[in-house]
Order: sequence, then C-alpha cells, then structure tokens
Amino acid sequence: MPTTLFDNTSAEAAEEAPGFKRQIRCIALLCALTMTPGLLAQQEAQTERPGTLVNLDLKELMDIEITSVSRRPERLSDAAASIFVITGDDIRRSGATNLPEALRLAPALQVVQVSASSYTVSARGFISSSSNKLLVLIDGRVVYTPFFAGVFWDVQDVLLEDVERIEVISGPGGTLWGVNAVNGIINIITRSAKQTQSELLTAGAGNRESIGAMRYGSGAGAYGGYRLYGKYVDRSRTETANGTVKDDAVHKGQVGFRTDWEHGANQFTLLGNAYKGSEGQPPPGTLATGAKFTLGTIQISGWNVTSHWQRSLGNGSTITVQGYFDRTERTVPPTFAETLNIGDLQFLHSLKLGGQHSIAWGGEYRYGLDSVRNSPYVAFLPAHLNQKWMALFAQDEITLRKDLRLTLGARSERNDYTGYEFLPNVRLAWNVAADHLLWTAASRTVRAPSRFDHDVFVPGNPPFLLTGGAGVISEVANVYELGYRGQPVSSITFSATAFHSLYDHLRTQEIAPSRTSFFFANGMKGTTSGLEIWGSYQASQRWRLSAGFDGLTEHLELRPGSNDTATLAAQQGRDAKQSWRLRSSLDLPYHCEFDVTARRVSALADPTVPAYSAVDLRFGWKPRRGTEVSVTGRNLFGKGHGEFTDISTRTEIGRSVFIAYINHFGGS
Amino acid sequence: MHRRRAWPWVLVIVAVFCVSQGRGNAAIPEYQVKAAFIYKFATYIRWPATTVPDATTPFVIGIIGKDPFGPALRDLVRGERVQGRVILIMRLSRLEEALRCDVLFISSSERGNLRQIFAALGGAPVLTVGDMDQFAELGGMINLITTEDHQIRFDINKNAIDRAGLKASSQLLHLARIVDESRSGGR
Repeated sequence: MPTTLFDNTSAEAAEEAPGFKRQIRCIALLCALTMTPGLLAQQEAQTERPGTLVNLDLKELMDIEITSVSRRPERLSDAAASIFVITGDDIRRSGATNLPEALRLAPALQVVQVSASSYTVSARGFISSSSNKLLVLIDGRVVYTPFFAGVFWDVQDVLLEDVERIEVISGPGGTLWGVNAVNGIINIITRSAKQTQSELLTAGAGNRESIGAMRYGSGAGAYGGYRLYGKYVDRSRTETANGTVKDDAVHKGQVGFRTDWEHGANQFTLLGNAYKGSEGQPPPGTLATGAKFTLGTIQISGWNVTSHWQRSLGNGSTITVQGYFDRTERTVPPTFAETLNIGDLQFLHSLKLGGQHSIAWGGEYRYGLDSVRNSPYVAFLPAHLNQKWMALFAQDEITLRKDLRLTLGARSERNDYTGYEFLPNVRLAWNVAADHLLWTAASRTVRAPSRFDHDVFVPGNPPFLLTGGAGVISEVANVYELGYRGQPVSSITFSATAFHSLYDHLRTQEIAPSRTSFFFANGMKGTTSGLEIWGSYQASQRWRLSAGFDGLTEHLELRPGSNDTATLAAQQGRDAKQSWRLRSSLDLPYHCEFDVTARRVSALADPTVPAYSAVDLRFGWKPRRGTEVSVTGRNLFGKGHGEFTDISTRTEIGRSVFIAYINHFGGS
Repeated sequence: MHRRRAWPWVLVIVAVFCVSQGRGNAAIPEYQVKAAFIYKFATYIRWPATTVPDATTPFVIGIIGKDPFGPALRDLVRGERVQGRVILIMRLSRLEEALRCDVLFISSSERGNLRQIFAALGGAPVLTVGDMDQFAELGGMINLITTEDHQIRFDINKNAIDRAGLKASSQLLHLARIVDESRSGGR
C-alpha cells in the first residue's frame, strides 16, 4: 500500500481498507471533478510544503513515490548533434504497444503504418518501403538488414516495459555507427537486469490487437541480476479505405533474457531474444514484381545473443568489447525465403589525454552468411553469399576553451561491394551560457549497397526484366548542420536544428539500352534542407506540454545519362514536407494520469495521401503501487486516414481502443 | 455518433480545469526526497564522541561535484537541527574541504574521482552518501537507489562506516541492503 506524502490526510484510513477506499475515492473524484473543484483545491493546499518531508521517518520516506528521472525536464545534453530521447516513461504514457508506435514520439522521425504490422520509419526524407538511410540498433545489435537495406519493423520487438530509453539521433552518424547511418540512428536501450528485479505481468486487449507479457527478474545481489521475459502479440486484420479486408493478421511470440554483472571495474552483460510468428501477406506483397501469383502467409523467426563487457581502467579510461550473433529467417511465399546469420565483434577504447582530449577509437568486424531460396518470380544471385565488413574509427573531442569543444573523427569501413568507404565528421559545440548550447557539424556519410541493390533479379530465371545492379556504388551524403539546444528557464527545454544535405549517387532503376530490361544504378543526386524543432514546457509539477515540428524540402535531379524519371518523381512525392506534434502529459490526483497526443502530417503527392491529423488519448490509473490500468484510444476523431503507399492496398487507420493492465509483484 | 466524439473533449476540459485548481496527488521530485533521506541519515548515525563539537558549531552537509539538489536540500533543512546544531549546506570547491563536512554527498559527476575523494577523507568521520551505480561497493558508505516503481532504497557499506568510527543505528541497518566492497580492492 503506497503511502505517498500527499495522501497523509487519510493515511490511517487507507490502511484499514486499502483497495476499496482508493477506488471509491477515485470514482468519487471523477464525479467531484465536474462539480466541486473547489473541494479539491482545498484538500491539496496542505500538500505543498516541502518541509513536511523532514517530519517523515525513514520507512515513510521509502514509501514515497518520486517523479522518475525522465519526468524532470531533461538536462541539457552536451552532444553536438540533434538528439531526442524517448524515455521508458514516455513510452508507457503514450500507450504505444510496439516500437514503431513508440517512435512516433520523436519529432524528427516520420513513422508510417502500411498494414497491421508493416511500418516504415525514416528521418530527413527518403522514405520508402525499406527506408534505407536510417540505422537502428537494439541493445547494441544492428537490426538494419544488409539483405534488404532497411529494417523489417515487424520483427523488431522488446518488452516495452523494459526499455530504459530510445535515443533518436537525426542526421549522420557514420563516424561512430558506420555506413547506413546516413540520415539518422535509432538506439533502443533496455534497462539493466538490476533495474528490473520485480515480476511483471501485463495484459492488454483492444479492437486491433491483444498482447500478453510476463517478466521475471531476480538475483540482484552486490554483483548483478537477471531477468527472463516472454510476450505474445496478436493483431487482427485491417481494412483498406473502401472496406476490403486485408490479409495482414499477425501472431507472434518472443522470449528473452538479460543478465548483468558488475565486479569492481568490470561490467558484463549477456542478453538474448528469440521469436517466432506468422503474418498474412496482403497485396501487393513484400516484393511486387508485376507477376500474378497467390500470396502466402509469411513465416518469421530468429534468435540473437549479445554479450557486452566494459572495464574502467581509471583516469576516465574505459575499454568495451561487444559481440553478437543474430539469426533471422523469413519465408515469403511464393517469392522468396531468406536465412541470414550475422556475427559481429567490436572494440572501443575511450580515454582522456592531458585534460583536453577525450578520445574514442575502436574497430568492428562483421561476418554475414546469407542464404536465399529463390522462386520463379524473384532471384537473389548468388543465392548464397558470405560477406564481411570491417571498420576502424577514431574520434577526438578537444576542449579548446572551457565553453568550446571541437570534435574531429573519421572512420574507414570496408564492404565487399564497394571496398573502403571514408566517413569523417567535424563538430563544434559552444556553450554560449550555462544552459545554452550552439553546435554545428559537417559530415560525410554513405549508404553501402545491400543485396537488394546488387543481387536481385526478376523473374527468377532468364530472360530477366530486372538484372540487379552489378555496377552499383555507395550513395554519398555531405551534411551540414547547425543547432541550438537550451533550457532558457528551468521549466522549458528547446531544440532547433537546421540541416542542408547534398546527396550523390542515389539509387535509380535505369532502362537498359536494349530497352528489354531494367538495372539498378546510381543516377540521381540532389539536396535536402530542413528544420527540426521541438520543446517542452513543465507547466506545473504535474503537467508537461511538448511540441515538435519537422519541415523538409527536397530537390532531386537525375544525373547525366539516367533515364529513371519514375524514381525521381516517386521519391519526392513520398516524403511529407511538414509534420507537427503536440503532447500533453498530466498527473491527476489519486494516481491517475491523462495524456493527449495530436499530430498532423502534410499530404503526400505520389501515391496520393491526403494530409491527416490524429489524436490519441490515454487515461491511466494506479489503484495501488505496482498496479496500473490504462485505456488508450487512438485516432479518435475524424473518419480514419491512410499514411503511406497506394490507397487500394494501404490500411485505413481508424479508431482503436486498447485496455491494458500491468502488475509488478514483489521486487526491491 | 455525435456523443462519441464529444466525450474525450469532456475529459480534456475536466483535466485542464483540474490543473488550474492547484497541485494534486503527484509524486515528489527525486532530489527533494533524496534530500530528506540525507537529512534523515544524519539523525540515525552517531559520530565519535571526540569529534562532536558543541552546539554552536554548524552541522555541515557538503556536496562535491555537480549539485543535483538545486534549492531542495537547502529548503528542506532550513530551521532544522542535527544534534542540536544548525545545518549548513556547503558546495565544495576544493577536495580538502571534505574534511570539514559531517556528511558528504558525492555527486555522480565525481564517479571517476572516487578514489581521490576517499583518499582525501582518509578514515575521517565523514558520512559519505552517493546515488550512483556501485557507490557502496566502491567504498562509499550509503548509496541511494531508485527502484523501478520510483521509490528510494539504500545500500550501506557497513565496513566503511565502521572504519570511519561512525555508528549506524540498528534501525538504519535494518532498512538498508548491506553490501560488501568489491573484492577487487574497493576502488
């Protein structure tokens, strides 16, 4: 039974009849709210004096619930980059039930849903069915697939309750993260096992999906702890705008573990996940080739293990070694089936030199074994391919003055298609005043070809209509950024980033001189410019407002010799030029929470998607410590909207309601 | 159909109205609660008799490193006393000043300097409190820990307390999780 400070008006009474009393009061409150708010004000007046805390004994202090770190206005980060952090608490309060929905919280990301579990996420334009310029990591494991160039969001899952934070970096991160971190990095980080030492049961159901999950955490001693989890997701079929039912229902199960040990200067983490599921394959299918075939049910499965060791060497110097193995299997009848095994090993040494230099350097080696079962419709040639990637990088953050830091970094990365790629960046951060940071950066970054760019042939046997891209090279971007991040007063945080990116060698699909086939080439170039702005305002201790804006302009053109006017038009027509986000997070009395999120996205030209607004509401109530009941309503107003791809196949996203129950048992 | 669209707005209006009516049953900011813990710890610890000065000497709570409390600690102890002594909050600018403290809060910004701080303290009877990972295992006396459901717990390194000649009440030890220093030398 929680006895929070603000409850001391009835602390004794509450002990007599805990649950019941609280329920009555919450119900009574809802009635009272509409009629006699004055009563409420009176009751709460006495709760403001911080001095009352000193009168509590230790045991009572231990019963107090604190506002989590995430709820404090975020501290000004010193990083010279456009970073937005989604905290675990933000995710909980958004009512998101999967990772892409949680990513909608980041103002710089464009997240669009195409079917029940098919999402596309991009930053700074270039959205496509496989948005190929955004790198995504889950606990240090890269989930961007070198097979398809992009992320299969339908299989990326974690127990959302275990997420500590998601770092969303918009803009290039090639030096530290490698090729493919062209327009952004999404870094999903789960909590350490030590922080999840309770048993958790969560169950939720609604008109679109139902989810059940359990987690067991234990073993926390002086040295560490472990957790095990399992979850099951079931999503029902969606409909297109004209009411056609799509075959996109999903059933998926996932289990995993994480264990953390600390011993002296050493920290060790071992974690793993395994999943299996099936999902319907609605038209036009994962790979549309123009051929008429019957689409079958997609089977997905995979498992991965990551180990991470960090040792502090004193003097601010640390060594990190990380290795992971990741196996993914995807069967997409009748077009293809793929099995990909990836092993990755990386090393990082960070140290301080002479008080002025903060150096990080390291290397990475990755080996992939890809095996595709080809079909008469599509072939990846060769069907079996082993690839390796190697990288070395170094970065130095130099403190020029107390308020001025210069970062110089470069990475050399080798891949089997294009050889060595050079990824340098320069960043300058100036702390104009204690809570005001101005920063600027120039970076060169590349997207290396994937098997999809190089090896794909349609149909599966000659004569081919699409003959891969044997001559495909890396897409290159030179990106210039200018940003401000600050906390003008303690209740307001604000961030603005302007960028200008110059792209070259963007992928196109050229018509061969024979005019009997297509092939992939690098026939497009262009520039994008944009603005990413967000801020938050802690209106009171219990009410937080935040807003975000993302604006983009694109000027793409064909390079001499290219004839792919279709890609040129399509790419510029696919990106939303503007999007807005507004969010209100409110703590109500009696452990109730109320959250509102509204977003507006401008129209897409090709395929046509009208501009849309969406409003989500969540009401949560914690009847007692560790228990939470919530109702989330999504897209509550209006008559539904589509977000991406052609109206004949895309899901019309309508009203949905989800009721969730979470219970923590025991724990620390 | 029309009613359906209206109800969420009713909730919004009610919620906003409720905010305008003043503060409510919210949780308390982390460092206000942590400040209370620090004050409370001082009342559960006995300092060695030789070092207890008279009531006119202030009881000093020092903060080393980046101060996470803001005004919270100062506001909390205003008008309070420990052992009959007025409480003074001191933000350390030099390491030597640590010896003037009765309680020393070591900010997580000083994680890399723990060894020097503990060395500077020697075996002096200064209660060290921190809120960083492994603080007690690394030689600190009391470590404040935030649990998953947003409550505060604490670890106590009893050996460190004993070495400094301090005496922790059994009630304090009972509520704490007792931890050992890391075998790798308690760095």
